Amino acid sequence: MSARGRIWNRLAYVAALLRVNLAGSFARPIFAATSAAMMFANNLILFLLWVIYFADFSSLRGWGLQDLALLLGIVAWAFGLTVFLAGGLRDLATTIADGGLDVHFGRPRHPLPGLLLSRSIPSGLGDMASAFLFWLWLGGAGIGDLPLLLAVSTAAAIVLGATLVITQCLPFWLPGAAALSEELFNMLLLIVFYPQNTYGFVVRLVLFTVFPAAYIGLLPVEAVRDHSLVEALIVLAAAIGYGALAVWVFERGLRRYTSGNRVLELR
Amino acid sequence: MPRVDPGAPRAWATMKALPAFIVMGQRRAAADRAGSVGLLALYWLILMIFWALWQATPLHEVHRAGLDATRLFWYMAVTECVILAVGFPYRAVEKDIRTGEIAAALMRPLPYAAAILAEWTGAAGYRLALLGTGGIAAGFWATGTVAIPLTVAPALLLSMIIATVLALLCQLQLGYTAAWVGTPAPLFWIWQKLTFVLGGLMIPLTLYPPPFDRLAMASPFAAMVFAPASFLLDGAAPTMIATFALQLFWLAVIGLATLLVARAAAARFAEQGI
Repeated sequence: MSARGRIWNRLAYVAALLRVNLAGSFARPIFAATSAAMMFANNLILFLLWVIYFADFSSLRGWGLQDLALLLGIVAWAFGLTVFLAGGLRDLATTIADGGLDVHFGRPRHPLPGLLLSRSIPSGLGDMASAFLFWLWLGGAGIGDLPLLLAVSTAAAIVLGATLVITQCLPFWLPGAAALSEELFNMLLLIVFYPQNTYGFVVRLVLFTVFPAAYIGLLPVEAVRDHSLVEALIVLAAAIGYGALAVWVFERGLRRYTSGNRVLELR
Repeated sequence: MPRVDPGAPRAWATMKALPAFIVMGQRRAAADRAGSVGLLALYWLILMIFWALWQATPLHEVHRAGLDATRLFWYMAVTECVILAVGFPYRAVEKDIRTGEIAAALMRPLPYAAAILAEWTGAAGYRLALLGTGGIAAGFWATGTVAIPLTVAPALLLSMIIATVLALLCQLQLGYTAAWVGTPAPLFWIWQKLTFVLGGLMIPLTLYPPPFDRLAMASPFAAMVFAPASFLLDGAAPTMIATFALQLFWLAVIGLATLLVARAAAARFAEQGI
């Protein structure tokens, strides 16, 4: 098969996984719609905190309410897109710890897409829908800003997904670390939902390297605020870099994986 | 047809088992060492995020004497301590309902609601002690002081315990809603964010602009989050008495509501199965 044929073949495989995944998500349409609506409301309620904050204070080190709206929109889009399309990454650590990877080894494909696209979390749709409200109404962005917003937010989603894959791979090295992976996930979410422009140099250095929250929150907002192509390209480069790193970490972890004999369940 | 537990106390004799459930909850929480370390790390991270945030905030703009980043740090140390100590226990009830395990629990002489609440109280008590100690250490490290006057410390502790029980009662109700909605997670998200906003998790309710301040103070969330932390902003005796009265009022209301929800869920299980 030619290189182009192989790429098409892989894309067709991913598309087939996505189709099945999304069909599963809408198997209970009322639950899916309720989850999405509740998440939409949830994000708006969270924004009230910042409305109250900026009713008392004029700015937060140069950021105003509109910047916070941009931030919440970008993070909501990134998180929503990640869990809606690749909700399986929330279960990755448990699957590794339980020996559930065996099932995926029986397939003539790389196990990572199958694992990530094994589940869709419908509340992600509410996150994605709320992003438009944050951007266009509360954040003061125009329709013309949408391509840039979607580009940096989708890149942020890849960085978020890649970081989660890396933290969820911890059980390869530390079998009892599934709970720790969940706490790391909570920590990452916590950091990205709050403005990162308040931190000093050392903390920012960490946020741009080992715990790349800056590419999910701070830098995408700055890119849109300043209409900066350079900052947008840095976010896109981070998406490629952290995506590749996640695949590498997963493959290194696979070498240490010991079977859970779950393949017997296939019989 | 088996007799179904309505969730209300059946006999005081069976209530003697409650301390055992409290101890069990405390021991289970203590045994989860990785979880405890992760929780403590999360708490410290939150405190450091907000320490940076309050230091970057132009606090002089609100013209409140004595309101500085240090005081707001300690305010948040208390509010977050309560929120994190409670955790997400509603998931246990949801799981019991989803798996049908609640059927066996309902057959026991001790009411299911009382037993699980006692277990949660033990676990939350352990986490309150852990986070309280960790919060004082982190606060001293960050701010160079412990901004909790000794005179208000006993009242603060009691108020934090009442706030925790209030939040646990709400979580029990949320867990029971699985009987009707299947998955209570979406309801929980809304409840949690209302706790953040109307409870004054980040900003004291006294700094809220109208009409948010009145709305928040009239809600039960103020009794769960703002009430204990308010002692660090105003430790005057009349204010503390009013705060305790507010907490006890909501304890009675939410306690009664929990009883009614437990009974309704039990009736539903009896009529339609689990």
